[in-house]
This record gives sequence, C-alpha cells and structure tokens, in this order.
Amino acid sequence: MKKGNPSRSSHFAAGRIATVYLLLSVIWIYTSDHILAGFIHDPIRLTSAQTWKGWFFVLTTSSLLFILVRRALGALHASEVRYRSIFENNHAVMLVIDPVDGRIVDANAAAVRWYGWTKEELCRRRIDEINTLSEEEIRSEMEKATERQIWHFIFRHRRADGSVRDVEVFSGPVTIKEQTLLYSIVHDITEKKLAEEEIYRLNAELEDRVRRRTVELETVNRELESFAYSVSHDLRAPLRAIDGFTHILHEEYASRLDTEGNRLCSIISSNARRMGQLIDDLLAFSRLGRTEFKQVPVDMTALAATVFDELTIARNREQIIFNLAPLPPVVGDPGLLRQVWVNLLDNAVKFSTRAEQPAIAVEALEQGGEIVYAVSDNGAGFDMRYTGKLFGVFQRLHGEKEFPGTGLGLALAQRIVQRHGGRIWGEGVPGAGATFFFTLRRNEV
Amino acid sequence: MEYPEPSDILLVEDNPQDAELTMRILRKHHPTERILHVVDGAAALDVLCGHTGRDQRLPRVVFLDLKLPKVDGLEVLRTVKADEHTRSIPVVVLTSSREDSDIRSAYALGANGYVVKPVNYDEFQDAVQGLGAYWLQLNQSPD
Repeated sequence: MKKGNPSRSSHFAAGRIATVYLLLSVIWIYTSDHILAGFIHDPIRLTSAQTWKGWFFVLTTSSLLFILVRRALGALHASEVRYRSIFENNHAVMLVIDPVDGRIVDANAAAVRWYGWTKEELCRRRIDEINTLSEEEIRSEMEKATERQIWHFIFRHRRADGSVRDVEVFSGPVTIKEQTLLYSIVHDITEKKLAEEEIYRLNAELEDRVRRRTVELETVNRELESFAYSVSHDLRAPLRAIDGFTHILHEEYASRLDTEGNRLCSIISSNARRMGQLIDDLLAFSRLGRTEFKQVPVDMTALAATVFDELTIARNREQIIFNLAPLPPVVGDPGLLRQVWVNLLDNAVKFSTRAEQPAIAVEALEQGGEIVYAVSDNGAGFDMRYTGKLFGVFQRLHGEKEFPGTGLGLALAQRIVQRHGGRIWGEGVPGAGATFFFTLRRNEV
Repeated sequence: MEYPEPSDILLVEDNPQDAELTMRILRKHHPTERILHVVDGAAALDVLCGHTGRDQRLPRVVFLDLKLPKVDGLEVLRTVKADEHTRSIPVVVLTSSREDSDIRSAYALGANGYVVKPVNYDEFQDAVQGLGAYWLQLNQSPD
C-alpha cells in the first residue's frame, strides 16, 4: 500500500522539474554566451545574436512548457473522468460524507435511484436524517470508519418514500483537497435478512417438530416396552402350566394312559415349549430396537469361528467342511453382530445336515465403501420365488418337521444388519444350497 | 386375628398353577419343610411384618413373584428389606419377567436372588429344586 499524501509527491515532482529547468537554463545561458563570444568579435553583432538566442530560448522553453502542461493536465483530467465515472455510473449506492458534520457531500446515480431523492435533495441532508441511529451513535461510528477501525457496518436507512431498509455499509476515509471525507458503499440487505429470519424460523420450527416427534416416539416406545413386559409375563405362565401339568400327567398317570395317550402328552409338551421359544425370540426381536447400540471394532473372523464352534458342539463338526476365509473387521455392536453370525451359520448348519458331504463357506469382499460378507452352504437351498418371504417375521420356507425353527432368525439378522446401515439378501437353488450376503460399512478400524 | 402357622418357606405367588407346580416340586424334594402360600403382596406383608409379636418364627426363605395383586413384589421386597426385624430373611425373586429393569430394581432393593421361571417344565423343576436345595440345606441363615 502506498503511504503518504499524494499532493506531497506531486510537489516533489514539480520541484524536480523546476530544478532541472533552472540548471539547464543556467548552463545554456552561460555556455552559449561564451561560445558566441568566441565566434563573433563585433560587439554590435554579438548583442544582436544574443538577443536572437534569447528569443530562441524563450520560444523553445515555452513550447516545451506547453507540451508538458497539456500532457499533465490531460492525464489528470482523464483520471478524474475515469474515477468520476466509477463513482457516478456504479450500480452500487455510494455516498461521500463529511465526517465532521455528517453532511452528504456527494451521491451517485444509484444512490439517487435507491433513496428516491434528487441529488440536490440528498446533498442538502445530513446522514443522521437517513440513518436510524441516534446522532451520538452515528458520530461514534463515523469516527471508527475515519480511523479505519471498522469498515463494515449494518445500519437501517430511511428513504424518500418513508420506508426503512436494512443496509450493509462499507465505509472508509478518503482525502480530497486536504479534507478527509468518508466514502460509503451502501448495500440493501433487507431481503437477505428476511430470508435469514425465515431460515431461523424454519429451523426453530423443525427443531420443535423433532422434539415433539421424539416425545411421541418415546411414548410409543414405552408402550411397546410395557407390551413386551406383559407378553413375557402373561404368555409364559400359561405355557408353563400346560407343559408342567402335562408332564405330571405323563409321570403320575402313565400307567393309566396307553401309548397313544403318552404320545399325545408329549405333543402337548413339545408345542408348549416351542411356543415358549417363539415368545423368547419375539422378545429378543423387540428388545433389539430398545437396547443401546455400541460402536466398537469387531474382529469378524474370530467371531464367525467362535460362533461356528459353539453351534456345532452338539452336532458332528467333523462331518462339515467349514471354510472360513479371513474377513475384514468392522465397527459395530459385537453382541448384535454375533447374533447375525449365529442366525446365518445356524441356518447353514441346519439346512446342510442332509447333504451327503455338508460344506459351509464364509468369505468377504470389499466393494466401494462397504464390505460384503457371504455365508454359503450346499444344503436344502430355497426357491428364489420366495426370497421376499425370507426375512419376514414368522415366515418359513420349510416345514417345521423337516427343519425346525421359529421363523425369526433371519428377521432378527436383517434388523441387526439394517441398524448397522447395511443390507442383507439371500440366493438359493432348491436342493443345491443357499448363500446369504450382508453388507456393512467399511470404517477405519 | 389368627396367626398363620410358622413356616420354613413363604411362597408369594398369585398364579394358582405356578403355585401348585412350585409346591409340588418343593414337597417332593423337601417333604419335612412347611410351606406357606399366599396369593398377594398384602398377605405376604401380613405374614412377615404385620404382627406385633416379634418373637414369632419367621420363614427361612421367601420365594417372591413380582407381579402381584394389591401390593406388588418390589414393594413387598422394599418393605421387608427396610424393616430391621425382617431384613435378614433371604428373599429370592421367582418371576416370569426377564426385564433388565426388574432385575436391577430387585437387586437394588436387596433381593438375595433373582430366578426367571423357565417355560420348559424340566428346567422349571431343576430351578425350583436347586433353589430349595441351596436355601434350605446348603445356606446358613442367621437365627
């Protein structure tokens, strides 16, 4: 940034030109007089030649002066016109104010248009007739602008039609003819401010709505909880009675029952137990939505291996060819992800028991931002026409006698995967096996 | 008012079938112990804290259901554990509820155990038998 007063540098330039002129003139007069005296010895002719020389000097320097002044004045004029037009023709509203008394010294065409007063009317006003702040406050703000402490202001300005608009003002000092004035660029932000207020209002409304919805959801959740509670309590007791008394009947009255009677007793018992299992699964399913959701790194390879071991203790593990590829770890809830492996591997084990050589493979591949895990078996498989039913609550594609189950396992797995932001689907061929896929977001573990 | 006979086991259970099954199992394995069965929380409190004669023998263990008419199980537990005279009686919650909130509340109030009644009768039998064996034979209570 250039420092100092512009009029001082022009003083300096003018002084330099004058000095050079003075030196050159002295040298010219002195040397030319000597040279002439050397050539012309007749005093009368010498005087006449010196007179001509003087005229020549005056003529030359005045021509030079003419050229110099014309160029300087022309440049000055051009620059003034240029700057004037930047001020005058600018689409931004501009004012020049005298900070001493707040009088408007100049205003451009945009200012005339925007304020609605003629230029003469504007220039008769003081800024405190336009700015809604008090005289005192305006003086203090103008001081800050003059001293370059602040250059950006938010004010409210009155216009000729009586309207008051919100404005953003860029202001700073400018020195013209030794006098410090304030230039101000005024920008109407009324609409912008209204829009901002609207956004604030909408935001507040949205927050309010979210709050209301949360309260509603909490109420529903509480109702669900009390429902689950009463299901767990009220449905279990009669089942226990059915199972218990059938058992007693079977135990204490066995002698009076024939084979068929005993068979009927065990049917009642096994159904009561099955229903108990269903209720437990259903409760686990409903609890899923209410429990806290952990986010920790989970070693999926170790998890799948442990779950497979646990599931196959009772069954014959050696008979199954279990192929577990290294799986990428994820961030999620270990307890819930474990449940997914339990359900998928349990199905794989269950449905492949009848295969001649049961084989289960677990692998994963990274695809874009997610990891796709796959569990495949060579078991009973399923008809792709029924894929829509796979993940429904209590939906089963196989008879209870053929492959036991409550029809909740895959529904539970789906709910867990979805809570982790992933998807789950299955592909199968009847009699040739099934593959279940689920995706999880890949995180930096 | 007539005081009930002093008993070894107080069973607080409103469901008659559950009560019958429980008592059947207990009688089978502990034929000499006297069992008193009450069907609501108010009756349980009468037996434990309701009488003025403090010298009466108190039960050695209480099997307490949570969902009870009149006074619920947690309230019974609170009252029993707040009373200096009855505080040392072991109270085992025997309920259908496996809700975390119930388990936490019961232990916070000073329950000595919490057992969820299994639906499966074999498991139920094992549970009640185990409770009887522990609290009536193995465990040593203050007199």
